[in-house]
Parts: sequence; C-alpha cells; structure tokens
Amino acid sequence: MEEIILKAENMFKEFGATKAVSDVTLELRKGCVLGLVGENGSGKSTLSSMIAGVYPPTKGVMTYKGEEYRPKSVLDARKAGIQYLTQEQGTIDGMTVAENMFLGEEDQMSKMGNVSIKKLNLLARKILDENGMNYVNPKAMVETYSFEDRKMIETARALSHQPAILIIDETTTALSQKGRERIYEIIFEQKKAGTAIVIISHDLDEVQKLCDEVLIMRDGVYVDTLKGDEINAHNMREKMIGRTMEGSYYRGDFECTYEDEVVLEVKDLSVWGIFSDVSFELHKGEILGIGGLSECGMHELLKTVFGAIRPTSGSVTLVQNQVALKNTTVSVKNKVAYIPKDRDKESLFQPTSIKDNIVASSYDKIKKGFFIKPSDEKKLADEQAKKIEVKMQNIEQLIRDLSGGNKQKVVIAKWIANESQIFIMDCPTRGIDIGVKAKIYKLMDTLKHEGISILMVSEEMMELIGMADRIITMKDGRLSKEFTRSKDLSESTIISAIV
Amino acid sequence: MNKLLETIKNYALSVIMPVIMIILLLIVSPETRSANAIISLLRQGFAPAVLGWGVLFNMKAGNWDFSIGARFVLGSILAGNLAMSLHLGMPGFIVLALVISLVLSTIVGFAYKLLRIPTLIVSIGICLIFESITRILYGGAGVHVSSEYMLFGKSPYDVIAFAVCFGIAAYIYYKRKLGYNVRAVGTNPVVAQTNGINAVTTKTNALIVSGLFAGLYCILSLSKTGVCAAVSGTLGSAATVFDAMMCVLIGMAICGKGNIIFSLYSGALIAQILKMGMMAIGLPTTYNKVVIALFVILFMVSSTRGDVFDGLKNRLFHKTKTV
Repeated sequence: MEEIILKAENMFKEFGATKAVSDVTLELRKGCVLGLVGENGSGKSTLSSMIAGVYPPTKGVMTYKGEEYRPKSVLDARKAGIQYLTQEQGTIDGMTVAENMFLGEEDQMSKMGNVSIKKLNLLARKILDENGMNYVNPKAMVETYSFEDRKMIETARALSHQPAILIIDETTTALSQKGRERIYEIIFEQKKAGTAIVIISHDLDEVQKLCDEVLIMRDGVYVDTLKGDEINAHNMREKMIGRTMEGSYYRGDFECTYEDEVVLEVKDLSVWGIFSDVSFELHKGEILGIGGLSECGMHELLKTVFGAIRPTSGSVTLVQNQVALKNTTVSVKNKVAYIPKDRDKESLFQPTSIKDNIVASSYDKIKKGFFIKPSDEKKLADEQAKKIEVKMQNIEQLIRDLSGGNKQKVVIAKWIANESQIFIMDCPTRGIDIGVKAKIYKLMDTLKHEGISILMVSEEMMELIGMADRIITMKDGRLSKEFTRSKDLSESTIISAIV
Repeated sequence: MNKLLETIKNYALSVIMPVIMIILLLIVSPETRSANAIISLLRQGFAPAVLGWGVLFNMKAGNWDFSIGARFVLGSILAGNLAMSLHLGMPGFIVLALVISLVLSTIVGFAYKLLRIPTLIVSIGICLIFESITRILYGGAGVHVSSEYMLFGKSPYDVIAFAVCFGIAAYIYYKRKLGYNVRAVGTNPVVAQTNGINAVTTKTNALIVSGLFAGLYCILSLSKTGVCAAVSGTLGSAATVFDAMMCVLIGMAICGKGNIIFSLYSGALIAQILKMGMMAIGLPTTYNKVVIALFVILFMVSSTRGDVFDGLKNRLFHKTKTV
C-alpha cells in the first residue's frame, strides 16, 4: 500500500440549511488515482473544494503530510502543493498568457514590489515548453487561444508547481478527444512521479480507465469505495443512484416511429465560415440527432435554426403556418424551444428563483388582460417543477443553488410550460449525472410520443444511437451522411462519417 | 524588425486618431494653424489624462466611482487655502494636495469595504457629502491661488509634471501587483478570487489609488487655472467625472494591444479637440454637450460591446452575426 499523503476525516460542509457533505472520510495516496463519483449534488465537488482551499469545512480534520492542514484559500492550498483544475475557464481575458500563469503569485517575480515582466515571460516560456506547448506565446493575450489551449495553459501552470496532489474536477467534460487524451497522458505521468490524483467525472468509462480506487457519494454522504475489478460502470451506476438499473436507459425500441408530417424545414442554410448548404426536414414526433466533431458547426447550426444567429443564406421555415424563423422572438412565439449547451450562461437567470425561470417564456400564456397574477405564476411554476421532479426546497429557491442536473430540468420545464412543439436541444445531458440523464431520456421519449419534435445535437455517440430516429452527421461544416435508427448502428459507423 | 512592426501596429490607432482629429480641427479652425497652437493643444490633454488614469484604475477594477470629481474639488479647496494661509509654498501645496486626496479616497474605499454595497451607491452618497462640504468651507468661496502656486501651469514644468504622472500611472498599472490584480478582478472576479486575489481589497485599493491621481489633478488643474469653485451638492461635480470617463472610454476603444496609459492621453486629447472643434464651428454649448454625450455613448459601445462592431464587420463581409 502506498504512503498516505492526505487524510480528510469526518468532513462536513453546510451551506445554511443545506448539508452538502456529511461525515465523509477519504485518504489520498502517493501515486494513486482516486475517482470521486456521484450524481449532481452528491457533494463530490464540495469535498474536493475543501481540500483545495475553496471552502473551509464546517467540521472535520484534514492531515496533510503528517500535519494538520487548514488551507485559508486556494492560494494557500496551492502553496502547500495542492493544485485544483476545474471545468470552468480559469484564465482571464485582457491579460497575457504569462500574467495568467502567475496570477496571484506575482510576488515570486517581484523585487521591492516591482513585478519583472521579463522574468514572468521567461518562466512562462520554460513551463510551456516543458509541457509541449511551444506553440503558445507567453506574451500573447490569453483570449487569442482556444478554450482547449487555455485549459492546457492552466494545466501547465498547475503542473509547474510539481503538485503533491492534483484535483481534476470535470475538466475533461469540455475538452475534445485530443484534449482528453492529453489530460490522460498527464495523469499517467503524474502518477508515475508520485502525485496523488483526484478525478471527478460523470464519464464512468473514463473513471474506470484511470482510477485505482473510486469513492462513491450520494446526497452528501459516503456510500462505498470500489477497488480493482470492482470498478466498472455497472457497479458505480448502481451505487451512485442507490438502486439497480436494468438494461439501458435509452429508448427501448429500434424503429423510426415519427409521423409523415414535416414540421420544420431547413433549406440551404449557411453561415459564412461556419457551415454551408445544410438542408433537412424534421417530422412530427421525430427525434432527429445531429453528430460531429465539436468544431464541425453543429452547435452554431442549432443556434441558427432557433434564430439566434443570422444566416448568410438559406431559410428555416415552420411548415404548417409557413413562418420563417428569423429571430428568437419569432421562434418562441411559434412554440420552438432551445436548450443550449451552456445552460448557465445562455439559458438561466442565475440570481433569480426557479419560479421566475420557469415562467420566463410563458407570460403570454398566463396574463389576463394587462395583468399577470402572482398566484398563476406560482401555480404554473409549481406544476412544471413537480412534473419534472426538480430537487428543490421550493420554487422560490435560487437557480444558482441547484445542481447541474436540476438546473437542466428547470430549463426543460420552462419550455414545457410554454407548450413548445419543437425542442432544439444542444447536448441536453452535458455534465449531468446518470440519474438525471435517465430522466431526461425518458422525458424526451414521452415528448416524442406526444407528437413533439426534437432536434438534438450530441457529442456522445451512444446518446444519438440510443435516442434518435434519424442521425445526420456533419463534417467540416457540411452534412456528411444520414443514418436511420437501427439495432445494428454502431459508434464506429457514425465516427467514420464524422472524422 | 518584427518587434518594431508589432509595436507600430499596437500604437497605430492611439497615434492616428488624435492626428486625424488635429487635422480636422486645423481645417475647421484656421486660427489654430500654428506650431504654438498645436503645442498648446497637446498640453490641453495633460490634466484630463491625469484624472483619467485615476478613473481608469476604478473602471478596470469594476468600480463606478462618481466621487472623484467632488474629491478633486474638496482637495483643491482644502490644499490651496491651507497652503496659502500657512505660507507653505509650492512644495507644501503638493504634499497637502496629495495627502488630502489620499485621505478622501481612503474614506470612500473604506466606506465601500465596510458597507459592502455597490461602489456606485457609496460613491454617489459620499460625493454629495463632499460637495456639500465644499459649500460650507471658506464660506463656499472655493479657492483662488496666487501665481506662486501655479508653477506647473508654465512650460516646461507642465511637461515635466505630466511625464512624472505618466511614469507613476504606467508603473502602478503595469509593474505593481495592484495593477495586475485590478485587471484580473475587473475582467473576471470569480477566477481572480480562485487565484487568491481578494476582489474587495483590490477594488478598495483601486479607489484609494485613484485618490493619488485626483491629488495630482488638483495640482495640475489649479496650476493652470488658479481657481476652483465650490460645487452644488447635487452632483455638480459629475461633469468632471464624465469628462474623465470619456477620456478612459476613448482610450480603451483605441488602445488595442498598446499601452492604455498612453492611449488614455490620446483619448484626453481627442476629447479636448472635440470640444475645441465644436467651439470653433460655433456650436452652442447645449449642442456641444449633446455631441459629447453621443461620443461617450459611441465609445462606450465600442469598448464594452465589441460584438456590435464585429457584427457590423461580419455582416459587411458575410460572416456570422449573433442576434
């Protein structure tokens, strides 16, 4: 057994009345990779945040390298040798790559309080080179690089400190396969170097591939630790949601079961430099999936269909009433819903309540003359939130306090409340645990059977195969192939059409 | 060679824009067509740029500070009158102006830190108090300094003083930790906080540092005009704040990858030329203000809503436009 480098015993964290973590103990060992898994809101990020100095624990003792450890801040933890990589962007626009790499640590590069830019750039150059990033200019503004490069800059910064503990909190979620592979390489290298690694991920295959041990949490409480052969997707899934999951959580049938009626027609749609000449039809009661590499233009295509991006040429038409979807107002008015990939930034009003978010697109529906009765607002929000099983204290709870999965439920509830007939979904289960995922798939199936049409982009091949009636693939901004729902359709067949 | 080209590219707009404005002014106002007039024009931008640097620290840190004008007026009245009554001379006046300005800005900074309410509200509240004090002190007569205290209004002292102020601003903004922290907190307070930067402390420090530039502005401004009148107590000092903000907004819009301290001087110059140009063509004061206000909005849009201009550019060149 490897040497224990950090022990967190009987950890508790409470946010007001919410118990985020209750009595959890974990051990991190030198050169070992520990997976932290659990549904959204299970407390895994809160637990790792306490180790990384983001939050102080409400109760509990941490021992690091044999001594009591109480980080006052992230910087404090970082100085002690604990690095924390998150899913969100950790670099700041308007500053150079080098400035970002030493953010909060300028003192190291200072003499009498004067920051040496030359020293800053030189050291950044050295670190970038050591991490195979010689194409990155430390003097360049960080915003000139892609999200993925920026994530790798953060990673290089973290590694430059030769961490004793490296926490990777859903970092791979937003990365392409290439980016993920690079993170996996780093994990293996760091493991060899004796770093204790914590991985938080919803990708159970990834967890299985990388981890020596997996600690499972549910509702803030420790459930079990899996080791060796016990680490497999089935075991983890069962312990995460606390019940046996029979078979697959996708659609059970393998038939194309949509109606002949075309509800939406996309004709020769192009956005200069992004995608060209895209044409397809969406039928009543159909789930039409679109797959491709992240940069192939599929995300922008959905935005264009919804009217959030103005196309250079082509048209999007609602067939029944021959309405052209020219902007988002027309779309919403005509019962077209859009669920974006980034729900936090593009879909939710974070500082407001669940109620306000659910009724946001339904005021026309509930207004009586010039007035909107608060009781009607409350009734509508309450009905929808309960129908879709949002885990909440009440509908007045603030959106920002919900977990990712529950936020997504609110987004969907908002459009159901609006009685939308066409759902445009961009990666509807991104960053969501399997419990909520299963519920969303079930809901999509229900909507389909109610005659509602769904246009869905997904970066998960299995999601497309499991849910869509038809799958259209995109490559370099153009449609490349179309597949019909079938039992024999495999991931490799689709991948060959998109790569 | 590449480095030189890069530098030229970075500063191009900050140099070209004032040059174009000067040419336009020369066209509409024949009396400005002399070397002396142009040099005098370049000097017009000194004082507003200095106050603008103070405002820059605040705006970059995400502070909306409407008290800087009132602080300048109160600082000028106190420092000028005290220096004269105590016969302290120019050195004493400089020290007093800086110390009083820093004290006043520290009051604003700590009020913000203590109350933890938006800087906009704190600064307006304190602005009203400071403005009222200017009406109480010295019977509301303001200050009228003797020529002894107007050293930096004359050449070459004004250039020297401006160069020193420029050096201080660039040093704090680009070389001190505070400069880094201000930029980080202003752009993304969450990430800054995650990196161990205390957002509230940084915003407080930015407010305090702006006091240093308000003090320097007192010295330059009084040196130039010799007079500073008390203000109304109903945000009468707001014009000073808006003028400085305009310099910052223009500076930010034309800065690109260049030095913002330099660009802000260009911004101050452009603002001054705009005012002079409007006077030259005989535009009534009311319209004059309308034009200035329109320019403020235009530059505000260009510096904070880059997407509007990108969208316009993209539409012209058939690229994507987010609605």
